[in-house]
Amino acid sequence: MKESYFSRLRKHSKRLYIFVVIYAIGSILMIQSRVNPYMFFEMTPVFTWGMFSTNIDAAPEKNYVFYDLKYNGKTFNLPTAQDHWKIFFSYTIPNYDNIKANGYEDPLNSKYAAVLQKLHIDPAFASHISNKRNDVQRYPQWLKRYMENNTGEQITHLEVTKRWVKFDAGGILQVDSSKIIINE
Amino acid sequence: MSKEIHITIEKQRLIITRFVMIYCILCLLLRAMAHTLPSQLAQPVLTRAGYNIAHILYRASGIGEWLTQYPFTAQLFNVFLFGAAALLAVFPRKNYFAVLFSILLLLFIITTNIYVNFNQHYLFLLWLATLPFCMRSDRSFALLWEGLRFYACWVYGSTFILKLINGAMWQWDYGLQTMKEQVAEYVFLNPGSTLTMAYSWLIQHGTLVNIGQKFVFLAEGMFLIGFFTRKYDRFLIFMGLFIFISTALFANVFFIEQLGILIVALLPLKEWDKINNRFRRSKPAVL
Repeated sequence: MKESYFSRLRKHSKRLYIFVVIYAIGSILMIQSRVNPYMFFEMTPVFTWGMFSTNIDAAPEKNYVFYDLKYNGKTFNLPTAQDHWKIFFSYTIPNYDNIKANGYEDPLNSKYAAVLQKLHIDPAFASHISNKRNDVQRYPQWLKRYMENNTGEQITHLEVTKRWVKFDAGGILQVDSSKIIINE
Repeated sequence: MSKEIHITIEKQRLIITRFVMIYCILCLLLRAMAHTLPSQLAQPVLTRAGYNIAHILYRASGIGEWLTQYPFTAQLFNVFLFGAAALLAVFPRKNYFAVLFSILLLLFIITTNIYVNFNQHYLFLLWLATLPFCMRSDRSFALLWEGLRFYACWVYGSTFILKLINGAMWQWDYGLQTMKEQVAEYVFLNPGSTLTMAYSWLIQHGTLVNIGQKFVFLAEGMFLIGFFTRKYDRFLIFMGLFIFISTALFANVFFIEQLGILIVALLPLKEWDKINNRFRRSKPAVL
């Protein structure tokens, strides 16, 4: 019978074996399953393969939310294959919207402070990890600056709109409501 | 270990290292073209570390300031990142270039994820692929490279297991619901396009989408076979392509870096010998 991978690894190098075993155990323990109480806390950069695995709300009138960006009157619209060009807008804008809705106070700040207090570390240190109010307020100017680099155009006007949409029975998209988040 | 096997591993290590490093450089060039290198972020202001310990330590260390806020240090980081990859491609046996590149690539990934405000996994399989090159001995390299193949199978196999445990597999209309969620933005921005019309038609015929989604889940589950045999690795490469195309079309995501390294990790070792022989015919291997 062929010798197993772990057996060959152990024979070759104990240190390498321990490293791989710890990593393999971590891969199993840190898995984002619903039996794991920390499933929604991605504690390490690598064990993050749980996307699209939980049940989702299937209400027929359910709204889908997204943000669209207009610069100099033009819509920022790229195909999926150019996903990388969009990530610094599509992933940062929901976080900005979330913090803005909380009065420009990063909700993570108080959570970090509570954890630090439990660890007997000065809770003020939380502000080094989360976002400062001043930085959040500078986001619209940053987005303009970044989009200028990204598109290669000088941007005189930038607008971000949040949209709540749904699909009707005919598969046609209906916009329920819209709200301008940034008008710079 | 016989001398012959040792020579084979040595040759395979050279070609695999070079191939992966060239692929890393291409992935980094894609990032450069997309204006997502730390030096191209126009001094970002918003971050998100979440509860990720690596991200929290990164934020606490203040290293992000050096990599994104000061043009000189940000450019210096680029020089080192691309330089280490290029040097390792030229000198595949110098494992210290691999250690340097691995650290810099991890820094690059964490920097991107902190400032993009989301823990993206696009590049992590690629980062793990750099670890075998950090080994000094060829035997250690060969064993870690074999381990990478197992991990690639785990990445997809575990997503299937999670779908069973977390419930997505058992929700009949999961396919239709996720498709609507993921394509809503595209449909809004591209009214009247062929793809928009196709999405509308599919939403009316949701059963097809739901069945298709279950096939994608099963394709992920196929990777569990990889833990027991290497016989179906070519089939798994095909499954990887199938998952990539389906998620690009119906989930609006583009995990191109992950697809490439998945294919490389699953490529049978004999194929590397063939590639190596093809190159050796025209040019002797540089040690």
